[in-house]
Amino acid sequence: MVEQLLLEAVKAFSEKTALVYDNLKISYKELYSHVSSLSKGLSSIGIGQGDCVALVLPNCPEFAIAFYSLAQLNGIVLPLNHLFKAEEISYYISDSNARAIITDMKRAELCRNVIAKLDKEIELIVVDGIHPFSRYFYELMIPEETEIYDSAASSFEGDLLYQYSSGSTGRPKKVCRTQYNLSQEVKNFTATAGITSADTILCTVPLYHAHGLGNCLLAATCKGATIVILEQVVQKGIPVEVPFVFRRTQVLELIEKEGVTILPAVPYILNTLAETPSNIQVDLSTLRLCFSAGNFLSKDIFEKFLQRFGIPIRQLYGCTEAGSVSINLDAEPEKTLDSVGIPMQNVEIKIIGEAGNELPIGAIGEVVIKSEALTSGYSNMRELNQQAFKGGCFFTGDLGKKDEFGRLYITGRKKILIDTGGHKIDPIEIEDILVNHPKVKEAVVVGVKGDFAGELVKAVIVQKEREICENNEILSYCKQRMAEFKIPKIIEFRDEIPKSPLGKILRKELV
Amino acid sequence: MNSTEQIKQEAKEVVLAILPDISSEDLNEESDIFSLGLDSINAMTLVSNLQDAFDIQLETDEINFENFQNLATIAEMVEKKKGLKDEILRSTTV
Repeated sequence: MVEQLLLEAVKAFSEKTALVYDNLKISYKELYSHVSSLSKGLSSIGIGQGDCVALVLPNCPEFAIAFYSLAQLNGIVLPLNHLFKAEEISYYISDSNARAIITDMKRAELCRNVIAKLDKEIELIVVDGIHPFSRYFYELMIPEETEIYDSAASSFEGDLLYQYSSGSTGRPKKVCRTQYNLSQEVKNFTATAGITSADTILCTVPLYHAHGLGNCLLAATCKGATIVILEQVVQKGIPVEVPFVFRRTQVLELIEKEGVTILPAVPYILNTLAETPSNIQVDLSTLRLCFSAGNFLSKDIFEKFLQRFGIPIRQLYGCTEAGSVSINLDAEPEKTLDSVGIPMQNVEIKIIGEAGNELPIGAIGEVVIKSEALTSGYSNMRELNQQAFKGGCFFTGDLGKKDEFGRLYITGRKKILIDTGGHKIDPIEIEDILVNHPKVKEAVVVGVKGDFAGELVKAVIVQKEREICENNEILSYCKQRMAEFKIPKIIEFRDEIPKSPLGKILRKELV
Repeated sequence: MNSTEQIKQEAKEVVLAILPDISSEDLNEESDIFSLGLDSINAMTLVSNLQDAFDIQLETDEINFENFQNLATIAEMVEKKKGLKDEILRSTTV
């Protein structure tokens, strides 16, 4: 199904540029040829329908190729954050029963160690070099002898994507979305946002996340548009993670150079761009739509961006379970800047009260989504599914209200997530790791407002009796077990955690 | 006047202060500070602290990967900003 959408674009725009990455430009014809060649290669090593393959990759063309190859094979893609450490990768690979990992040289050894410890037969495929005990991505490809896009694309509607949604307790929940779900999402989003083959979408957000995958990669390549992927910084042949602020000038130049028309982003990126000093000449006149997702966009960032570039940022609302569901395309965005807009085409959003009834205009209740793009539920969580998925609707747990024009306003979030430097972190996940430290009795993780780039991760720790615990012990423990961006920036030791008489942690007192 | 070595030493202290789990031995002139943990959160703190420590104002286009990749490049940038190189050149040609 998803491949059908790509194939339609390939047939209509075969010579057009599908993907730009640094100096590399890949046409639709070339993209499809790579996709089909990799499919054959993956098939030759036994990957087929229902098989899961993990992508542990930064944003790169190979991500796009691998995604569509697996779609062509009716396989399942498990896109993971490339900054994850061994324990994190191991959990997801194991939970998803992945048959292969596609990664880069930088992470190949890490992935190899993960595979060795799992004691399962998992293929390792490396996209940018030859690594022992692995297959080279481009060597695995088996080119087709003839142009094959006259053949019919797969009409398979089954499982295509595993993503994990952070929960209020315990480990993240596995969300499975089908080819049908994703094809509906891309149709709804592109029709609502009016995306056409004339568009060029700049991808600065991770492709492993619903925002990057749906609103950048799928939106562009299913409509014959061009996706420009901000390339990795490479130093001495090794990709280096560089904070966005160090790439601001380059991103602004890229928008100009490639004539970018659509910029999907997150508040941190937009804030960094908005703070470009006024003496720097920037021409963003090609940009027709700039939208923010992932977290609430503050009035301050909206106004700064508008003042600096003359472009109003639109808010988009979505979730891992349903993809993008609403966007604010209001004719007067200044007046409704805090709204996430009206539901996208073919999406229904209701505000439901505690009694299960739909609430009137202005009343705050739970945001409930009905859409063909919606997952059927969390894997192996029957009880939770009974609460969150009822009557074909997803009860998001987020609180919101609607105005008389049907615009949605999000007023509260179910999950306490920390927004740090463009990453969203589940504090419970970090607490679960911290309490396993032999000297830690209790740990609570909160976000505290930082001077730059959002919140700072703060861990408040109660030590076990007679134990002396140092900051560095906690830091090195974290460093081995979690991605760098999750590691607490502030560690505070306390004698006890403040709690309500009912034992509820008083997080606000820890900030 | 600050010598290049003094600038490097001072820059090292500024960097170490924001990367608490990195020891002085781990941070040499060529160490890639992005790999040592310089991320979005502490990046702007580094920029701000360097500006304060050396009494300089960095332009947006100077806040880039090339200038911040290691202590040597940071020191070079600071030196340029402070106009030290020009002064040294002038003093050696007199």
